[in-house]
Amino acid sequence: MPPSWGGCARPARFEPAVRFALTPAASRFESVGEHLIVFNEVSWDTHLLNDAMAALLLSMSESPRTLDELTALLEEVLVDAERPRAGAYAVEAVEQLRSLGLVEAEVTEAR
Amino acid sequence: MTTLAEWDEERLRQVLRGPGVALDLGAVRVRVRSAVDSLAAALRTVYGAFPLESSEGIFDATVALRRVSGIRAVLRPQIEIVADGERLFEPFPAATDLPLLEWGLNYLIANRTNHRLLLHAGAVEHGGMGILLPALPGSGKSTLTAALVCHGYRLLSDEFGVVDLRNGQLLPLLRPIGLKNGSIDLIANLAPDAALGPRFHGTRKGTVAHLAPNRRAVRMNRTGAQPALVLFPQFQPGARARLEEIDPGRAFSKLSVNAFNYRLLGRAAFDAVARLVHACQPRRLIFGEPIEAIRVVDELVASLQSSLQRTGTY
Repeated sequence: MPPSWGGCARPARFEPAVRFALTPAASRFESVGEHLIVFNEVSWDTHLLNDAMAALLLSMSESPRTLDELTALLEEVLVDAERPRAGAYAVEAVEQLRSLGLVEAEVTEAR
Repeated sequence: MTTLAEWDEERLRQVLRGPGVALDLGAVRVRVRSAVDSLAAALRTVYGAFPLESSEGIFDATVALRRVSGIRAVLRPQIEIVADGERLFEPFPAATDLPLLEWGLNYLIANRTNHRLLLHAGAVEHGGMGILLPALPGSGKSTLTAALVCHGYRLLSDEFGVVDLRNGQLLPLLRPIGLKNGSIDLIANLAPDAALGPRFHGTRKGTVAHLAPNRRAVRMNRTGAQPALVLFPQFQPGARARLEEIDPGRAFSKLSVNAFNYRLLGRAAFDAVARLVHACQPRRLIFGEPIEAIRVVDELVASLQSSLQRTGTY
């Protein structure tokens, strides 16, 4: 079990082949100070993301990412004490962004 | 051009009963009618610098004050405000004509002016720089706006910071500055010559009075200002006046939540607030005495103007 999962099993819906990308709703965002402000083009909500969430979203804006890639990114962003839970944080972050309509899953061929 | 202050009061009462008085507030034009004759005297004071204009044409709102009929015509008489034939609020005591008009105009402007971003903020201009003072009620926004105006800053607006969505300019929306309770005497002492309207006691906000926009502000009611400062006023009794940095992301959040129509305008509002936050390093202005706050703002303005001269940017 990778240490970054903190002893938890990877959820089934996050299979290695699944990559996550921004939806068209997340096309408008601004870096403002330490935050990323996102305008949701579908709901017209405005979201204030912290640095960890911002890093994930900016990464997915460049290209779709697997959960493992997002976890690796979080391991660089998080402080030492939080790093062991990077995998769980990545799952939570993706779930939150999906619930807001900003991120969606796309299935690719497993390598 | 004849101003309201220069007009005969009886003639003004007649016009209010008839076609109405046109007020060009800058970003908004309103027409005021009134069957409540006592309003004329207050209007001559708090809108005294406004020129008399034709009451024909297109207006963003036409409001009328009228007396409530029936038993309320004699027993604790009441008045009400109507806009385009529709009553806006429950009736008010007859002695609160001007506050009722002002609150009615606030309501209409907040609901109808949706081709601009409306922030809940005071706004002034000095040396070509627009200064936005966004704040929740009780923060000292109106007191600070009034104090700056008495000190020579040009009033753009007290209640609404009006942002042009095309170019981000702060636009004038000239209304009397509403002061409450202790702030009234504070401003009266700060500027004994200032045109303060009558005091209205026992309103739901306590005692209220209004500081009139001056001639210079009214004359420049079509001249906006590019925002250079965003200062969140925070009145704290006894506090030393000082500035504190605010994280721009948090400032964005405060501005958007504090706006009247941010949600309605969608991406246009998002872009406007982002532009505002990027252009003006937001700060919190904590103050106990307005005179000290003025000094802090003066120093900050001078510093920014110096920076502009040296580098071409703020």
